[in-house]
Amino acid sequence: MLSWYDWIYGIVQLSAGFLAVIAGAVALVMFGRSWRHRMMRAWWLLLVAAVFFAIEEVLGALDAFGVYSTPNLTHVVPGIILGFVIAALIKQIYLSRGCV
Amino acid sequence: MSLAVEFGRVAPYYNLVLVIVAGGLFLYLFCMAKKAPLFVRPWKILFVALMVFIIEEGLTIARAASLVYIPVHINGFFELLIVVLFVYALLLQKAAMDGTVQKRVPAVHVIQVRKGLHRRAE
Repeated sequence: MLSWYDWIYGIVQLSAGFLAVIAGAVALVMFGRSWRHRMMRAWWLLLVAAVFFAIEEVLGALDAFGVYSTPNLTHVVPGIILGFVIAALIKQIYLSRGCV
Repeated sequence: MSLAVEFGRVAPYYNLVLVIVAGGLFLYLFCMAKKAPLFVRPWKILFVALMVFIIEEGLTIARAASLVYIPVHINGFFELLIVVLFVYALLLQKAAMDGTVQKRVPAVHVIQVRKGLHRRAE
């Protein structure tokens, strides 16, 4: 019998996974559009981070429901996401300075 | 122990270092946004998401070091908040690209443009 906490936790995990897939889909749609605008090229790197974030959330949801567990990968993928966020920030700073 | 397991053990620590670097770059970008014509609102939302991630990683490290006892399930709530903020920032930037969001231009940039126009009139 599931407690109310299990219900809330399960709903939160499913919501996070679903929203992450939506974010990944929005990111894929924005890929082409961001490349055409010069000032938007930093967002290309953020969109890659969004896709990795979707992968991370799906892995987390699979782990939460006991379908597939990768305890190490769920800590490594955020590092990759942060790498892309840092690259996007540096790119945006260069673009704002007019260097690129 | 395998490399993957060891890598997973140190991951929260280097994630925290990367987060501090990203936080510094965000603050530098916000300082630049006062002078450059940059739509900075999505970046501010991403900064808030980063702060939530810092709290989550801090709790993970404290839990691993047995400093606090908080169930691991609480991370799901933090991740939901991060996802919501990420989606909102993406959609806001998409609306800005479509031209449906009113962008606030920095006052410094407006003054410079006005000075340029004033000189051409003379």
